[in-house]
Amino acid sequence: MSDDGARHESLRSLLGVWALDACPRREAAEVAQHLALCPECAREATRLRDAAARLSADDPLDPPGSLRQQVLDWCLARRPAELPVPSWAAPYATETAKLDALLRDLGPEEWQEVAELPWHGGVQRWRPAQVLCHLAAVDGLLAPALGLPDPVPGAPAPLTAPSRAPSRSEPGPVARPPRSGGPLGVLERSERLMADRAGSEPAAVRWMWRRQSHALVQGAALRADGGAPVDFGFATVPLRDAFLDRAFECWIHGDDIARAVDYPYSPPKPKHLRSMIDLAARTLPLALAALRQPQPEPVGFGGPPPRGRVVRMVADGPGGGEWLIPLDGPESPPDDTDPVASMVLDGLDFCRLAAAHEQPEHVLVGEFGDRAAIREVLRAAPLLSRP
Amino acid sequence: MAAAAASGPRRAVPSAAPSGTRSGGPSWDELIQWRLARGEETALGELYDRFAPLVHGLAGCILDDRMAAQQLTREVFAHLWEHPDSFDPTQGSLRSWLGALTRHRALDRLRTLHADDRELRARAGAARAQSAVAALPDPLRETLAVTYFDGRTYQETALRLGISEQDTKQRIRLGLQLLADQLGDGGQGEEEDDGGGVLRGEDEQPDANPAAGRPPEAGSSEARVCAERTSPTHTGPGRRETGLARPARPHREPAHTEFRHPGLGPTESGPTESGRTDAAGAGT
Repeated sequence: MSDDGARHESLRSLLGVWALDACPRREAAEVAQHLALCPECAREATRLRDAAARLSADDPLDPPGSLRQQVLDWCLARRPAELPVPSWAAPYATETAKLDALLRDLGPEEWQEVAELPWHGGVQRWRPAQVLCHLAAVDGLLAPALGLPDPVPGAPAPLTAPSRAPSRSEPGPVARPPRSGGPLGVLERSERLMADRAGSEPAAVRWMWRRQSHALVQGAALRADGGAPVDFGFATVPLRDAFLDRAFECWIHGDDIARAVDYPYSPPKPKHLRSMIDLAARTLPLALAALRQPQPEPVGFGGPPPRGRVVRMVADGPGGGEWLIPLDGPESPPDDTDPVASMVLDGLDFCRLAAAHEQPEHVLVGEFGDRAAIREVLRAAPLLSRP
Repeated sequence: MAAAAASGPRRAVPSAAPSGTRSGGPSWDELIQWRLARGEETALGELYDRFAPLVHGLAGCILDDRMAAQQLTREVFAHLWEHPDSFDPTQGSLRSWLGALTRHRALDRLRTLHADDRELRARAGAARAQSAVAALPDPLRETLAVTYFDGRTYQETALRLGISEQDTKQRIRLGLQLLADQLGDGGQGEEEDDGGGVLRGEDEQPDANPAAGRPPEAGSSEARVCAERTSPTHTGPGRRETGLARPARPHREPAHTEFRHPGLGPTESGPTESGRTDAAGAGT
């Protein structure tokens, strides 16, 4: 190519950025000179300038978060789904969509912020993409039940890794009492996936997580048996509870990310919140058992340990309700058992408590009856948390 | 014509999953259409997640009314949910089709509200530009947005997006060329859709490059050329429903995308953006 030809090509490649006024001054001047001499480039330059002039600076509205459900409801009212999402997977579908909408708005700097994820054993400090790896790694435990691949490289599923440090024991919702199986890899899986994705763009990590969450919901809609067992390592739970657990964690960690980047983040819709509270309430007896393990004798009591006590818990606010919590073992006491105490607290507070995002002493609780029993419940709730 | 596409004769949607007419298997567009046709609620959710920013953003730009934009968003998605076969994947991408459908409906609504012909024409012209921008492939739209609305030089844009200066120049030039193609000679007042109001076919092609390491669904930034107008002091008041002011929203993480287009370099023919990138993403 002649020098002139090369120069023509090089200036021609600048026409787009020139039309956008995105050239440094010197290059812009060279382009201007060239345009006076080259009709071909001048024609293109005019055309691109005109196109650039049509770019509008109007700021479009982001779809509000509530619109998604409205649109789905509107559509489904007109044509019911032949293959609906099971009700137990709906909270997960909604929470993952909500988190994804938040992620869509994160800029490069915000992807570098560090979110704090408290749990009863400490605080994890992760960037948003690492939080997504964590979510995806644990969500991945549901994959085998739906015939989907595990995202964690080289992870046996179900996981049977040995326990790590005792301080990392994870009762988790639906847990067997901790210390029996140990922490099993929730953290280990997460860290492995983080390491695997360390070099990836946040957008790619987001896509990996989103792709799997879509696939899980689709799997639930197409072939799921809500009773299929899911092995969390520390516990085996029915798929329907596993989905609720994942919805809960997606909400809590979505909120962790939102706090880190100072964005607002709404709580689950009441119906979903209620099922999450229900899961935590149903799981509380296991946490209570865990709480009692180190000190089998209740302090301050002579005589035999109490049996069959029940505390009535009233969760206030949207999604609230009433639950009877067996204190002295997971077995449900007879229906006519009189509660030894009643406690009233905000449903969201209860969830934050169960996620160890709130201290028992900071939660406003209405108490009636045996206060020691209520203290026990409040102290046990954070043990449901995991990283 | 987009109007014809939206209301044209119903095509039969095959009862078996689409196998794809090209070597790469069915595209995302074809798959989602098939899933919609067989009534998968999850397909509806995925459709919304991918295209709500496009549809809602476009509706908002044209109608300039929050409630009306939401209503129109409901209607557009309901239309496809109720008539999945009204979209013809052989005629262009689903993104383009939804953009055109949204624009048509928005302008129809505007017509019933505005007696003032001049304003209608002005908005229609703006709408055309908006939907042409909205239908640009993500990397092009993003590069345009960062450069134009942040008033950067292309060197700064390249740095910010983590792509080469050469790619930056190419993307901007190609983006503007595509816009010019779409906006044609119609000029500002043009109201009628010539069927090319949004980009067709080739618009999704660049992302078809399997080397593209980006999520196809970075569709996230639909219509963002008009959204991404940020300046260091821009606090985006009222962006959120809560009305909370937020700090300036920086741009999304860029993609390191090897970018090719028929007009600007070697290209690969293949299924649309999404199908291919999905396939590529499966291994990750």
